[in-house]
Amino acid sequence: MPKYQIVNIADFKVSSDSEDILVTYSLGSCIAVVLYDPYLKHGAMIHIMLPDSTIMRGRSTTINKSKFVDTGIPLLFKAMFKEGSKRNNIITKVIGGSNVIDKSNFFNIGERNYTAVRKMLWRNNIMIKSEDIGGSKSRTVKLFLDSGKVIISNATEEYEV
Amino acid sequence: MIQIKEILEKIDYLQPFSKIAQKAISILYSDDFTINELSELIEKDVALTVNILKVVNSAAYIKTREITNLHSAINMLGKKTMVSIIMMSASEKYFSDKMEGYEFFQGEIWEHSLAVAVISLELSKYESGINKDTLYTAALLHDIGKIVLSQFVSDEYKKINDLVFNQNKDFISAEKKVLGFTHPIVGAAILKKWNFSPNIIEVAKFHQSPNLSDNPYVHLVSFADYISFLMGVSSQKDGLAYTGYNFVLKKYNIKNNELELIIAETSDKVKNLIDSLKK
Repeated sequence: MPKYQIVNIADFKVSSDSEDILVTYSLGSCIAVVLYDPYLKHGAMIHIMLPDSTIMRGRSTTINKSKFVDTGIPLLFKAMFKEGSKRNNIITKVIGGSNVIDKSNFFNIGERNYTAVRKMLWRNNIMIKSEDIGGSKSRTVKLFLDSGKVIISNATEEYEV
Repeated sequence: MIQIKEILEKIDYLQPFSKIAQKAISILYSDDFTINELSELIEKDVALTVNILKVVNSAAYIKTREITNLHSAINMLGKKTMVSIIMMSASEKYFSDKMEGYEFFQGEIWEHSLAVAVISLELSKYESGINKDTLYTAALLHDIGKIVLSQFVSDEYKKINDLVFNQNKDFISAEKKVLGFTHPIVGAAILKKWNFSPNIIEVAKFHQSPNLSDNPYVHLVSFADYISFLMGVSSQKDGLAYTGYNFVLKKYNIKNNELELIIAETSDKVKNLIDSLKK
């Protein structure tokens, strides 16, 4: 029986159990980065909310690293390395970054999130294998640990990315 | 096609919001009340009492023994959680039924409503002279129209859904096109029927068109609604298909960094509250 492991908002999960399905719901302007190692069959998913943790500078609260692109992505890769994955074997997929439908909207957090992810991955020479970005759809993302398949669903459709 | 009149007639058969719940909430937000006073009131509502004891004895709260009296329970839970439990309990019928029309996951609107309530309180600093009791209640009930509509429009909803997802229409225009009316209109009518105060009714009516109102409660809840969408605490189906938030962002002169900071800082509060109620 497949077991759903829910990745909450500003949260990440790693798994090497082939029965696991990592899932995150209702991605809006947030971004899910999904990593999968087809040789060792383990994978990881993070649900990031915001591009940059430095906005929290000077605040006394400790930050949740999974909330931001700049702190969350390193966390995700380190978790894969810890499980024994080689950098070159990791397949990277990026999903989300929607915006509210209003064309005049001047806060494009979805786009800012995506740009930050691209920049971060590019700087570290990591290629994005595939992606499903933007629009004004809300997406649910599933990673099947047995196959590495990434399935996106919304109210009306379901497709692989 | 169903008429708005039909829906409003059926509202007559819906249970009005419990008087005990209304009173308990206003007591909670008045600055001087005793826990005895509050527990004496709540005791009269058995279902509510059971729900409060259920939450306080759940895994979310660390305790050394079972809590069996309201007095200790209220002490442990604190104000905001109490208000949330009261609202949830008082409207349980609408919040927990499987909603076929709008096909939300069970409790999803409730979760969203709670999030908007918590965020609204955080944003109240952008206005002066706000009554936090009213604001919190208004935010919790802003989508009540959806909850009621969900009982009536399952077929129409499929069409609305199709317009939103396949033709990129915003949710409100899609509702208008398919139903001829919208969830804010229905919500306001219900709240009026239940004798809620004008501010609370206006929030339900204008939260998606804040530019048509000069009520600060509307503006705060609309802003909070927008932030909840950005956080992803929204319904899977209509999360981003709204327009009209720019008015509020301009009014409060919010800059990109500030918006991100608000999201960063309020998201933990929202998450903690929702987690504690889920357990």
